[in-house]
Amino acid sequence: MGRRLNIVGAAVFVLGLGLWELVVRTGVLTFSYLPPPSDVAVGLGELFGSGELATALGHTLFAALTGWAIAAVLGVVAGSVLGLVRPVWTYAMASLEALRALPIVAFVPVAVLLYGFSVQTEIMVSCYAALWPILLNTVNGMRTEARMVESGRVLRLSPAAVLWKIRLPAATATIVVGLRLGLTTSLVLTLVAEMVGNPAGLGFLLVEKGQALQPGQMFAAVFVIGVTGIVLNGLVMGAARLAFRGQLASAGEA
Amino acid sequence: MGGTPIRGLIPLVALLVLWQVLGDPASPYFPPPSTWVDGIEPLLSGDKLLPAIGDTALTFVLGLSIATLLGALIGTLVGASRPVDRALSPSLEFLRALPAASLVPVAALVLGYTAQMKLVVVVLPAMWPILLTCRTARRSLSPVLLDTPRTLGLSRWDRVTKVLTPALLPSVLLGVRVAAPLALIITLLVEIVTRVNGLGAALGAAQSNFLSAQVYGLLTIAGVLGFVVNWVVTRAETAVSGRMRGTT
Repeated sequence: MGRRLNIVGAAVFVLGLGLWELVVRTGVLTFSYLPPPSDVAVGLGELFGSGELATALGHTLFAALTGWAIAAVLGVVAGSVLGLVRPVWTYAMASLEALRALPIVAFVPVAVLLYGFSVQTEIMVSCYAALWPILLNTVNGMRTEARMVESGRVLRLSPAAVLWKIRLPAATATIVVGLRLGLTTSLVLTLVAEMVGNPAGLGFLLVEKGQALQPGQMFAAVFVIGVTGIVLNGLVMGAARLAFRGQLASAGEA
Repeated sequence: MGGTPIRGLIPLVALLVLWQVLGDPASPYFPPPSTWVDGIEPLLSGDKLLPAIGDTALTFVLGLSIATLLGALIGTLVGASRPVDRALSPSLEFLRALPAASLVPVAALVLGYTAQMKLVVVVLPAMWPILLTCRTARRSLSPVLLDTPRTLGLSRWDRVTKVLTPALLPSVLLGVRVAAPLALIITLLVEIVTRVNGLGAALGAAQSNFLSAQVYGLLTIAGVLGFVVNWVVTRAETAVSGRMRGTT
């Protein structure tokens, strides 16, 4: 798996776009609102030019990242307690698993009910969505192999040193995976909250452009959302690689 | 669920009991659990709840089935050949990165507010886990497994049904296990956003009418659905992969 440029792959991607353009322009496919890629490019230009895109993107990123950051702190702290303190795990884990079975999107109407059409709704939803993967991955990560903890005891490390030098490093890779998954879900759920709740951000931009029958701009917004997801994912991975080089490599995540 | 002690349900039960005892039945935000049943009652007597659950279940089952078929088929074809894999993977990667939620308004605009639109939106994201596990599994199949039946002179049909399908089935089911909860979430999502029939639409409607007890009641029903789906796919996957491991 080299880092070579995949020319064939890129060519197929471009070819696919060309085919789409051709099929729509020649009228082989007749959906009333399916724009050809050239219209999408024009739409992207329009959104960019009018400044709508920057405002919406900024709003969505703010809501998603704020919720995610809160979830990261809560999830790692609560997950550590659950993973390290056995009685807490015994007397709480099943409740969490029962709650997790509730489909996250079904919470969006509840959040709208509680917080109305405000940015709090978005942050709450984003936080709730990101909390689960972060919390559960932290719990799993903290339940280190007994042998590693034992070797720490043999080396006469204090409990604090066992935590800091053995358990935390062992859990890092799993926690980073949780943070990454959490960021993806929090972005998606923020978009949902914007579609049904707070009329702002990229999610609302999509709905608005759809209702205004501007399919070019709408597809452009979808494109921006896709790219945002890829970039955020890349940033988290890059930051994690810089911060925890050794731990990630040993877990095969790097 | 993986040996989690049942005692762990105590905090949840305690919370619900406290909520029931201390909660104000007229609260517009946190109505106590007993009012949830009353909240759903009008839907039940108006004969709306069961059709809604049926609609959601139908979209979910159909969507997941189509996603499984398409995912397994494309995954197998892509995994069978390195050049094809290499040629398609950037396009597949980009399509996969598009969040399901962003597809909803697009599909609604292009296909209209219809049952087919719901299906398309469910199938696309639910297909990925199955496609990817199937691609990896097909790629790592031993060439001996594929050459032996050819040497034995089995027809193409027999090779596919007797060798390829059983060899890939556990990976397909693993993909389905990941895809099933996702498909349910997306089914509810489409319904909440577009309000086209089903449990999600009922939830959305209850929320916009500020029927908070009904919202919580429907949320509980959605939770039960989610639990059932999880339980069924996990069981099916362990049963089948256990049997497969026994034979090879």
